[in-house]
Amino acid sequence: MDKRISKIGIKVILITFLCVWMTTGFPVIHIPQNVLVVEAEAQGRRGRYVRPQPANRRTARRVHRRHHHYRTGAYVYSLSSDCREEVISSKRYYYCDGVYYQAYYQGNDLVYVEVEDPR
Amino acid sequence: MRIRILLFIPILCSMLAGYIAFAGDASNPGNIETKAEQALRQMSDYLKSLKAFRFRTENTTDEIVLAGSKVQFGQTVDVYVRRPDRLRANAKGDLENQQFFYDGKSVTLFNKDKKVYATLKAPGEIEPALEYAQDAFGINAPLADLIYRDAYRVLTANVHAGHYIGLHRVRGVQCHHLLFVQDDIDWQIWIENSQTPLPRKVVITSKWLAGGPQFTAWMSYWKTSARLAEDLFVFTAPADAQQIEILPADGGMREKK
Repeated sequence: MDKRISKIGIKVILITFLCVWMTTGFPVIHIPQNVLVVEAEAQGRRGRYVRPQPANRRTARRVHRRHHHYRTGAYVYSLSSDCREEVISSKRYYYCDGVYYQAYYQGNDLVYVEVEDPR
Repeated sequence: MRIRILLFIPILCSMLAGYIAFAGDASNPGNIETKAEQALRQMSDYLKSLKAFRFRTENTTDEIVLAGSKVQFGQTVDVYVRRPDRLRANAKGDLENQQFFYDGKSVTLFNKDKKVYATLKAPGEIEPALEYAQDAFGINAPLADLIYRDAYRVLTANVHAGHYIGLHRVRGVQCHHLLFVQDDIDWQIWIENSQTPLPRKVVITSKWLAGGPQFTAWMSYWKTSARLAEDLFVFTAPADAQQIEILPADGGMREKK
């Protein structure tokens, strides 16, 4: 009777050890992380520029959204030098080649949004 | 019967161990070498202890132009902080000449060249105000993570591994050189090896973008007990400046071809 209990005891200890070992991610085996290998892979991301983002921000974010209506929605990052500045009802517009634009901030960048003819 | 009960014990134990391992991960992110952790914590604690301070950061940003070539743009930013609710940054660079104001009530961006500004109401302390500006409008203050009160936690939130590279000099100042690894970026920081463990240099590398563009910042002209006047933080619109709107962060806009 005593022998039988001790056998079960050994089994229990072994299984416990194995389970703990597996669930804690095999802590005895050290897997070296080769951190200095930098793989550059073309992401095919399109856009004006690709900026490295200072991305060490808090992960849990509150999301605030405000709804605006922009009539046409198309925008450009810069205007050509032929554009003319016009102030119409105390608002500044940029008139370029038949199209009116207004300046907006998009994040820290200025963008020029195509708007309907304000006149 | 007794044997069956005994067999349940290891399963319960393993579940418990798994839970402990998981909970442990959440409180201690990543695998950061002790020396690296110490240096970063010292910097974080020291910055937290400063009430009013200013510094200058000279930044370069690589931008990949459409043909795949890398072009580097420069920028100098003077940053003024008065805890808990005042922040000012003057950025002057190749691409923009912009000022950032936070006076405890609102955040203002002012583009000096184009003479336009935008103001938004913001919460009453630096950190919630910066988070709000970032989340709602995508506005970020350069290197803002460093001035957060718990900079260590914020900086290491997404870090998988941290390494101590060595004692290296930045413009003559001996610094602890550290490397931190995240999913899509690696960042390095050089922290002054002295009684005033200030950050002296930061490099952020995008690992998965072609060309591996980098952001580099050299911090200097630290004044750790600066006298900063109230009007430094309050924006007064010049007569010829036009107020404009800020697009919400998701925008829903398309770039014009």
